[in-house]
Amino acid sequence: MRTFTVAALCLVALAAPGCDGCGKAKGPRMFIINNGAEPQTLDPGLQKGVPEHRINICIFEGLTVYDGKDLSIKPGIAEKWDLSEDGTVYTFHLRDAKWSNGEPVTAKDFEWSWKRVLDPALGAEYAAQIYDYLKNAKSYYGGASSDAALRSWAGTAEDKKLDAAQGLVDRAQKRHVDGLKKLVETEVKNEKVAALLKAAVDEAAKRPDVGVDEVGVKAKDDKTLVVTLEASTPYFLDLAAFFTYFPVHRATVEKHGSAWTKPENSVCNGPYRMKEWKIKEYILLEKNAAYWDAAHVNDQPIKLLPVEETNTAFNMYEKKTIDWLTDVPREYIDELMKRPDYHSGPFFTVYFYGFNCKKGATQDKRVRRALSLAIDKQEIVKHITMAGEAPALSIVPSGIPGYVPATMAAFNVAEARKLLAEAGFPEGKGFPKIEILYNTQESHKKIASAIQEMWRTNLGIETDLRNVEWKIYLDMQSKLQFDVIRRGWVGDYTDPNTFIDMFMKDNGNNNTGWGNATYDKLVTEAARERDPKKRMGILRDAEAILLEEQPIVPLYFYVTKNMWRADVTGLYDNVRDTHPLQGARVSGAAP
Amino acid sequence: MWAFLIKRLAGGLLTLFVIATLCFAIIRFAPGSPFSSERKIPPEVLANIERKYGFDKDLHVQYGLRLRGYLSGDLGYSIKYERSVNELLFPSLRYSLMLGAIAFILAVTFGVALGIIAAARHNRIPDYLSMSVALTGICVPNFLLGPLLVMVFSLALSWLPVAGWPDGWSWGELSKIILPAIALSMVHIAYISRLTRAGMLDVLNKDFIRTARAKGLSEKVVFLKHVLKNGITPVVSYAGPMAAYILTGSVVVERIFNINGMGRHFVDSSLARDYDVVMGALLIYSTLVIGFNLVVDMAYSFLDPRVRLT
Repeated sequence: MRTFTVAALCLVALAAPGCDGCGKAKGPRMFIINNGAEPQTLDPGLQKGVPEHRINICIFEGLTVYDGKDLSIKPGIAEKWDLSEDGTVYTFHLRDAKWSNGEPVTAKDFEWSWKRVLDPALGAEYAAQIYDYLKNAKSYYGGASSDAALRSWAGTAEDKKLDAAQGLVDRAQKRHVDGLKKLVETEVKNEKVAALLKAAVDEAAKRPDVGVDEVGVKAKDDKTLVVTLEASTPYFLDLAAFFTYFPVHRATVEKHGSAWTKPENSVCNGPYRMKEWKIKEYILLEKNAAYWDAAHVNDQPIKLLPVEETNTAFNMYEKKTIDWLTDVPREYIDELMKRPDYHSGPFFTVYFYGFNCKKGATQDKRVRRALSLAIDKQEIVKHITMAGEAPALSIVPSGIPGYVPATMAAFNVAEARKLLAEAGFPEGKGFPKIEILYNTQESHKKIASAIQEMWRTNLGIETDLRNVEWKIYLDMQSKLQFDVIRRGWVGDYTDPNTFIDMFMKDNGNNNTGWGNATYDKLVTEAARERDPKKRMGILRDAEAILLEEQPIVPLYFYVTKNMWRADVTGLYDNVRDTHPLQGARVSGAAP
Repeated sequence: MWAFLIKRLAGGLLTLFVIATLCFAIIRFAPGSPFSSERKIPPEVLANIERKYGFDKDLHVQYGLRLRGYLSGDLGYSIKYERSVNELLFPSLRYSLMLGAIAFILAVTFGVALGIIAAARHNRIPDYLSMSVALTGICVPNFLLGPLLVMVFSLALSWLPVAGWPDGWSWGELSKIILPAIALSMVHIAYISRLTRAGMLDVLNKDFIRTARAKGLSEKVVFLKHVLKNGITPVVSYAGPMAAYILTGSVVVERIFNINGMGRHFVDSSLARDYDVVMGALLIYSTLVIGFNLVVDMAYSFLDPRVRLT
């Protein structure tokens, strides 16, 4: 019977034409990309991840843009700009650009869009990406958040009130004093909360009100945008190309609410526009004729698929139903690397281990150093990751113009043993059992096992491996519930600071419990330094401290893993793995 | 009959309520939150995000709001995808139902056919053959079967597409459904064939079959009318839960063939702590299970006059 089934299927299949081109509607040749996942939201103000980024750099454009070839900053909607003497005031002069509905893109659009991100009601996760830089933006955000907290106080859960009250202590402003006083009365029974609220009354009285007009972005006229920064920020032009700073079309957003990103509503200002969006199936982009540089945009439609399984995507690529793979199956990476259509290069991302500097044996710097020196990174990239990754001796990847990363000592077992003995554990004797925590994934497991073995043979210490699911891992990471933890970090902008400021004592992403006053001082100083060369020097000094104190040990730098067909032109490897698509196209015949 | 239906429907609603409550409690107490991410969100921003989605309210208030939503047919809001759960799940449900229906038909048709052959030629070569097929079907998991099918029929022979969902009515498009349907149904074909065989062998030894044969009925009539009708009861009771299971998709098959089905939502939403989606998917699944069990119980009464619906 089963033979019959198979035979019947074979017959049916034989009757069909060859299926290499299945999945293509008739029409113009499309450039088909595997985007790797379904985009979460395409609202630039709310956007977070990579798949969304790939789409949004096609349909939106900020003041500046990245060059796909060398990542230099080029004028986008801003044609040119001036910087004030002290480096804090940018004046952007906008070009004649249009939205996809024909209306002009004005400086007011930018002002409104940036302030929208600062509106607490939007709930933008990346709000800090703006309020950390714009003058008064943080105070404004804090004040507006306090407004919201007071407004919704009555419905706030009891267990959230303490946090909410603490937030008011930290951020409430003069105008909140009356409201806070009333709250103190209603919360009289809840002693802890009441005490905080009382403190908030005093704090609020000291803080001036900061209104929305005081935020450092102002449309002087339709064509001139004046941006005032809190402090000089050498990489601000880089940030201006970042998605949180993209403009959105006010009338559209106000009319459609959260549904404004749907193809039928969407109004955009980038080289492409959204034509179709079938959730978890595909997104179709077509050329935006209203784009200011439409003459240089290929008219080939772009189709983005959300295929999560890299093997499936690879099979589709082999069958010519995908033109560009943004990730490849790791199982046969060594085979793929030999192919001419495999494109790989350094990637602005570091894989590292963090130590808990607040509890256990790893509080001791000598222990951390011993553990770090006993890891043979070469071994890891050669036998486990295998895609040509570079062993990391610094936390900042190389390749940032003007910056030479500081380095830590290389693999050195003798030194590691010596340090461990100094810390009181000769030959690893008496060393408490420690645990490596990682999120469940095959490659993390392999690396953790290798390091477990290295520590056992090189230092004579025993380690447990523990894997947990992603969200639990994040929870444990932020609560410092680990001895050693696997981590990774992608640079947000092409500057060493994106890897360095996260280890300042109070940074939310520190997650090691480590703090060093000199380090913090250097990083703050670097932010104020106007001379690029001096600034890079200061950051390098900071990095050297980090690598000396070793709250973390960098393991390797990632590589990009793209595959695109020989007939694809206009794509270039770059360290950010970011690819503007207006120049890219596939020329081969439609399959 | 009507009393039975009303009773069962009321029971079903109560079950759904209990499931919704348990699910709400369990996911809310799971560690992590929809907002935890690799880049830590500053506390003031987090407070605003929680306020936006109503997470600042007391749990019992949130629970009440959720239940009220269900009463009006609103399954909630997906925090991960920033769109309504209805908008997210119902297209997937449609695909899963279509793929599942095909797989269901394959499973029942081939499963019962294999079972009949095995029973009719008990302890002879056709029996051994069909049962080996069944054993293979049970043993080869679909995460292996799927890629194997792709390797043979798509990569080596180029007969069928690698993955995807039909986007039109041409053969090239429709044929995309074949491999996933086979991958999804294989284990059920195997199971049903064994159930059919066992059920029929059991009935073959009963007195009324001897009577039927003694009456001089042809072997064909004995087999298809008397043995099959009575021997198939275990298949019917298996088919109910199987239908619910197969129609709500399989995360493995959907991933391998890149189909936007329900199965992936179960896993993805739990991992992302996308609370409303977790509950929505579970409630849809539960509704299907309850519904199909009801259908199965009614089918019994038609197949076996001794069964009364009370």
